[in-house]
Formats: sequence, C-alpha cells, structure tokens
Amino acid sequence: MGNLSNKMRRIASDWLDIPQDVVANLPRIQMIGPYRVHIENHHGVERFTEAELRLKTAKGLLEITGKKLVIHTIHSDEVRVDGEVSGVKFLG
Amino acid sequence: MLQKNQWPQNIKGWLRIELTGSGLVSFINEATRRKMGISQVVWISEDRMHLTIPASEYVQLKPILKQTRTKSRILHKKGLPFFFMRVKKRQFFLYGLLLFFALLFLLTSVVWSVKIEGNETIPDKEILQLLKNEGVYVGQLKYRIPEEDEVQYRLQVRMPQVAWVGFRLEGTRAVLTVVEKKRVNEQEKQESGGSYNLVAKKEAVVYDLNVKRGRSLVEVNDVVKKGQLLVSGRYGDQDTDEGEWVGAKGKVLGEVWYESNVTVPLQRKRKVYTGNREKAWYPYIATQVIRIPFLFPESYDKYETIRKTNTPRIKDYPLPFGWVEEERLETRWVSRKLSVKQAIALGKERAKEDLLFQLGKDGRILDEKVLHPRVDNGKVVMKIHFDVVEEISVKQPVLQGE
Repeated sequence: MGNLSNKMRRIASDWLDIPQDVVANLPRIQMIGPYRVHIENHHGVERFTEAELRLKTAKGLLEITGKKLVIHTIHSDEVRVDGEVSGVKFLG
Repeated sequence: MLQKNQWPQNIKGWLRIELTGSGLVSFINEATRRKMGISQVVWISEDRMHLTIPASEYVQLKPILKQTRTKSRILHKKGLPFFFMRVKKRQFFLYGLLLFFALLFLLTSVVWSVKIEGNETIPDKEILQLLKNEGVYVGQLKYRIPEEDEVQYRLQVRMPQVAWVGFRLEGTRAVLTVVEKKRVNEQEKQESGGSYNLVAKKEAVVYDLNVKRGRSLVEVNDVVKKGQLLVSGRYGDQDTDEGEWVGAKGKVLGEVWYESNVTVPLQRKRKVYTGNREKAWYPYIATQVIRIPFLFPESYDKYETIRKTNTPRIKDYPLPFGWVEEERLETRWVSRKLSVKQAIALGKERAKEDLLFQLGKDGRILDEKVLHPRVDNGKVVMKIHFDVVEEISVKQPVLQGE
C-alpha cells in the first residue's frame, strides 16, 4: 500500500515537474565540500558518535561518516553537521 | 534558517551543558520533537555529550532528562543575563567604573591653567584680571566660558593698546595670544609732525586762539566757515609758497550755536523701596548656584536683590563651594507729577548734560535759552538754544612738494 502511494507520488512529481523531496518527503542532502552536511526531512537521530551519525529518513537510515563530527544545529526536520566528512551513505 | 545570527542568542543567554547517560540519542530526538533549540552537539564518549541550549529553555530540559534517564551538568553560562548577574555581584566595581568616568569628565571640563602669550608691555596680571571678568579663570567650567569670538572681541575692546587678540581652549588649558600695537615714539611724532595746518571743522565765530606753533590767519570774533584755514603750519610770507614747515599746533576755540529739542513727560515713575526685606541662602559648588525652590519662596512681586558670596577658606585658599546670601528688597513704583516749570528745568538739565558730553573737554556753555515750551499730551515739548564754546580746529595734513 505504502509502496503504491510512493510510486504514485513519484509519477506525479515527474509529471508535474515538482522536486521529489517536496512530494515524497525524501531527505534532501546538501554538502559543502567535506566540511558540512545539511540534511532536510530527517526523522530523528539513530546514533551519534564522533565518527558517525545515523539519521532516520523516509528512505531508511542515512549514515554520515567522518572525523570530529559535531551537530551544529538540530531541529525536528533539519540537521547541520560540521566536521571532516568522508562519506554519506544510505544503509537502506 | 540554521544560520541564525548569534546576537539574539547572546542577548538571551545560553548554557553549555554536559549530558551523561545511555539514552543520549533519544534525548536529542525528544528535544527536537519539543522544538528546543539544540546546537553544538559534541560527542565526548559513548555516554557523554556536550551541547548548547538557550538559557530560557533550561526549565523544559527537566522532563526530558527524566524521561531519557540522563543527567545534566552546567559547564558554563554565557550571554547578557549572566553578565548582569555577575555585575550585580561586583556592584562596587561598577560604581567605581562609573565614578571614574564621571571624574574624568568633570576634571576635563574644568580650565586648569590660563596661559598668556605675546605680551611685552602689558603685565600678565592685568590680562588675567580682564580674562577673569570675562569668565575665564582657573577652575572655571569650560562650558561656561563664552564663545571664543566673543572673548576676543571683548578683550580687544578692553585693551586698546593691543592690535589683535586670539583666544582658544586647548584641552583644559585656555591660551590667550596677544599682539601689541607698535608704539610710535612720542618724541618722534612731535618732531616729524611737520606739514600740518589747522582748519575749522564747522562754521563758528572765533572765540579764542591758542597757537603754540604756526602762524594764525584769523582773529578773535572773525566768522569762519567750515574748512577755512585757521593756522598755517609754515612761517614766512603768506602769499608765496615759501617758508619753513613747522607744523601748526594749538587750539582755536569758536562760538557755536546749538539747538536741541527736548520732551519731558509730566508724569514720572520712580522705583522706591518699601522697607520690606527678606533673606535667602543658597549653596554653590564651583560657579554653579544651586537654587532650592521651596526653601526660600519669593514673597514680593517686585524686588531687587543684593547678593553676597561667602566662601570658606583654608589659609587664604578659597574652597570651591560655599553659600550665597541673597537679600531681597521689596520695591514699588511711585509716580510723581511734575509742574511745567519743574519739567522745563529738568529738560534743560538733561539737554545740557547731553551737550557737554558731546562737546568734550574743551566744551563750555555760555548761554542757554528755552524757546517756546508747550504742553502736549502730558508732555512738555520745548526747544533749547545753546550758545557754546568748543574747539573748532582740526589738524589737516598738507601734501608736501605741491
């Protein structure tokens, strides 16, 4: 059921040319060099250490790896992470 | 949205806290769900984190801490509210700071020294006294000193032997620069004053001649016109242009008629004291009198005041404060009626005074006559005729070689 509605939304967004993050509530990730990652539409923190930050998203877990990671600011749908980022990865 | 300006946070104040416990991640989730402004989350170890929250949200922290079984510890407090709290603890330091600035301001707004430059013959003391009269002296508040232009102008008027006066304030020092006039040697002046004639400055009848040098061309009782040559400055033949220039010197007095119109009101108002008096005392600091409005009310409508300043002294050294004794004498207007005769006498007296002042030191009144006095609208209008002797000669330089 959920899969179907997701599919419908994707088709609609393609059709209407609306960005997918808006339609499907998908995370939108912005990275500035290796120093800063800005994630919108997250659903909470799963794990946070100096080397790793795992965020819950609509598309599963999102893992950010690096060194000296600091959550610069966090709001209910927005996170800004500073540090030496080495990887951004969906764990599925 | 995330790049918020730091200023509001600094004004409201913020706390750096340390969290310990096993459910730190759930703490973050719970706090964000409750829309708390968490920032600068740093991971220290598996069960320890540092983060920053606004000071106002500290109260909201408690239930979340309980829920997630974490413990918090404040590491430090920053921002304006905490700064004020610290200041409150060190109030005297703050007062000292304010006192320091107040003193600094007060001491720099006082004239500490008066310097006089450029005077050669005028003694410093005299200039200092003149300056004091204008309100420039050591201990005077700077803002009470009049405009520089005004001081300059007034000193210039007071000191005729000075060609230029410059006044300026340099910080707490008042500097007066004086340029004295070049004095022409008196003797030199007398000897060089060669080619002068004396001529009449107005129409008159010659009354007296007093010639020290030169050749007089008129005699007593001659009628002279304005500009007529009275005393020639060269000896020798009158008709030829020969002869030695010696310079005319002397005085020619002439009889001149004057007419003045005088109006004297018959009703005269005069101020008199009623005999009632009262006293008031006011303290003063520096040069500022402090008026206490309700302590000594002014009970008279019209009054004159006599002020006496009392300055306590320590061994001839006046203290910068004291009190002013003010005595108020009640006055009253009294009108007096003059008879026509009295009014005429008064008018005559006044006209005479005016005229004598106009004539200068050689002036003398020979005769006076009051012509047709009449009463008009409560005033006596009259014409007074004066027969006057005054100096009529004036020096006129003659261009040599013509």
